[in-house]
Amino acid sequence: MFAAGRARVCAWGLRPALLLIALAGLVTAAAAQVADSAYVDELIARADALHLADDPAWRALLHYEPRHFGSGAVSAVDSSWFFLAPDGKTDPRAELHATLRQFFVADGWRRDGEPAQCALRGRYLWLDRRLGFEPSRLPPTPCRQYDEFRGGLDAWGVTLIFPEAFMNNPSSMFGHTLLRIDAGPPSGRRNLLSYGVNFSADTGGDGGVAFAWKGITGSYRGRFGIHPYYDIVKEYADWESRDIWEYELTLAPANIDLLLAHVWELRDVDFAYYFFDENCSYQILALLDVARPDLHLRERFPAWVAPADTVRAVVNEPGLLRAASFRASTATQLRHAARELPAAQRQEVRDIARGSEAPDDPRLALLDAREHAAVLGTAYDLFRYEELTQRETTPQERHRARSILLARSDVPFEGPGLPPVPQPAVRPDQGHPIARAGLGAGVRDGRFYLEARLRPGYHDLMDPSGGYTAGAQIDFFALTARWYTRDREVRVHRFTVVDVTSVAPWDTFFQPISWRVATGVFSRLLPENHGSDLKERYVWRSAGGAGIAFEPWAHALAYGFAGATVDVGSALTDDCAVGPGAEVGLFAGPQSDRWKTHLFAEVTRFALGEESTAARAGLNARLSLTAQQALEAAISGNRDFDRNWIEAGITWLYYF
Amino acid sequence: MRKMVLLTAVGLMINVGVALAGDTDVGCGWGTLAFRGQSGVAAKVLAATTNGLLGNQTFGISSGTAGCNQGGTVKAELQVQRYAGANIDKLASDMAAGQGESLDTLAHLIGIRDADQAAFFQLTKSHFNELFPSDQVTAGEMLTTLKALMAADQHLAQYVS
Repeated sequence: MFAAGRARVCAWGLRPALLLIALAGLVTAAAAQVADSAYVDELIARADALHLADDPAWRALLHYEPRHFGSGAVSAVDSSWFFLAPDGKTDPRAELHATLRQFFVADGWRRDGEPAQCALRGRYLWLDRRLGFEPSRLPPTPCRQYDEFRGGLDAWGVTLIFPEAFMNNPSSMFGHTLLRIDAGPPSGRRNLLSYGVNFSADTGGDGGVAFAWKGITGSYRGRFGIHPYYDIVKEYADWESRDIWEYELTLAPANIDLLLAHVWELRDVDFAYYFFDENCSYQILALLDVARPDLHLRERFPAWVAPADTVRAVVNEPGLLRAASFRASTATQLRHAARELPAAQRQEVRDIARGSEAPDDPRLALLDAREHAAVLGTAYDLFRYEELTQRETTPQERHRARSILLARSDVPFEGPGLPPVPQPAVRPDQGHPIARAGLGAGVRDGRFYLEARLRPGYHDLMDPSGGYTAGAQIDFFALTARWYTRDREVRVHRFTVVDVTSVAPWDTFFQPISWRVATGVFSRLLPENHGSDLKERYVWRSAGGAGIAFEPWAHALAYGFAGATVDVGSALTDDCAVGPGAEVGLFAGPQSDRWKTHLFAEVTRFALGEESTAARAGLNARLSLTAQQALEAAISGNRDFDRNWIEAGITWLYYF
Repeated sequence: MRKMVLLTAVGLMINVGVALAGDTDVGCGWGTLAFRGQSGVAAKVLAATTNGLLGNQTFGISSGTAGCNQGGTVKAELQVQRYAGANIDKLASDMAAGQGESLDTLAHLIGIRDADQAAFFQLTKSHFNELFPSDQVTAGEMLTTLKALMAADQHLAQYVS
């Protein structure tokens, strides 16, 4: 009876109780919604009052760039999902508002299963710093994936990595940049265990013209990626044989946090890759702009971006560079070994690498332990270098690799047995600025002229070679204009569209084929209507050739080229002059590179079109005055159409 | 002939055994063969300036992604395995020489203290033939042998669980 009575009370009292609970729940939920939207509105109002949307840090996080034409900004990011506001790509303020709103939504926008607070970690971190989110009103979402990412990186510092050019490929002189996230405290750090952040384009194996065209017009898609540094070293220093410079930067922990939070945001984010201006180096500057928005690094490069120039911009910033170190590539180590080893041992290295001498050959036992180690170690490196650049390894090659190492392990000597590769005296960021102007005077076939030159880039064989790859030349859009005073004639003496030359010396280990290709407008002395007088006439000249080179003594380079020249122009018979040619020459100068000379002789037999045999022999010399100024003198004897004449000139050069 | 068959069968069994021991994950560096180098790199020369050479852009770092199945395996051991697989050729070269950056990094990953490093380098150099007994040795096999050698060494046994 008691129970029945109670039951009756319960059963009867439950419905209103439930109703009350439901009501209470609704009221609480409504209150919570109101609280949320009140707080987000408050945050948005404060963000606007602080003009956060115009802050360089926000601009950097969203990769906003000023428009090329007109006012306003547009983000360099292509992936539409990166923007939370419909017009987020062009409206920083709308994007900021939408971002703040999205932080409050646990079940809305998600990326890879992460809500906005985690997936857009950089934005969250920065906005939290500037606005001070109250945890009770904007509860922080736990970000497991992001925490694992940061934990795995163990970031203590950031280093700018600059792989240089590789042998016989002048276009690689432009270099590449990426960032290394230095793992662990400085003492006992193992750099190979750090990770590198790299921006690159997916070129899908394109080559040649398609590659050049797509790269220039932004048809490739670029993304950031992270790789273990040991893989990066393997890729650049071993397989591509590029020396790597490592510039350790000084960045505050808070700046590093923001940089890495931003890198996390950029997973799978697409950018258009533009070879000239929005390339790998530009994107690295974009990352550094997030870490240090006060530096405005991207803004310093409104036109085209050369990686070496971006390194200069970073390194020359006061207080940013902590230390610079050099990591020699396999090819550089081998060239160094070739210089250090006596001739007989160099031969043995080559024979062992190529399999014509056994690694346990009794002759080797006659060497002392250090020499023995040096020969076997270098032989292995040479063998691996040659093997790596070829195709699939054969079983015999694998056997040779192991047997060389087995023999090496029996030699009671630790280490390479050679002095270490010296760090180059001049770093790439310390090399001459890439643009060059000149003023000069001279005489050509008895006519006196004044000359002006301008070259936007990059480096030629007479320029000071410190910080650049020896024997590599790239010139483009190089203009030489002259005013011949007697006739008061202004002429374009030469306009080089592009000139790429690689003079790579042979030695015991390497036998590269040197090569060059050039095209541009040239003012040539041509006979006037079969008369004996020669007049300046324009032709479009394209030339190419291949050859060999060697170092006759230290810091000298002797070469021989064979090739062809194609001249096109209305002043020529049949509008062209085509023929084979050859050139020999010698570059020489002291180790300091304070001055350099170039002795040359060339001949071209134009056999098609306007026939003639053109020959030149001469001497150029360059004397460096300061880091940015030099004097160049040139004299040559010329012969064409059975006429001889002298050319001589002196030019003051300014690098900027 | 019989001996060959027997040896091959044993060899196969051992390989299978190793694969099973690594919680059925033959990847993550375990199965990487030594002395292979990398083929077909020359074709990439032209692509150098866009530097799209590092393969798929990933965010793989050792704490959990990029092909390493964690399972119940200790993270540190996976790191050693992954590193050894990716750097097997350099490790072979450094071990034969008795020193080198890659070998030093391996020692660091294993947790070898500075005082014991010399003993580690000496061990790998003097036992090179056992660590790399054939042209077909894998990174995993090398590590197994390394562990056994360290366990038998008075200075290094402490680093092997």
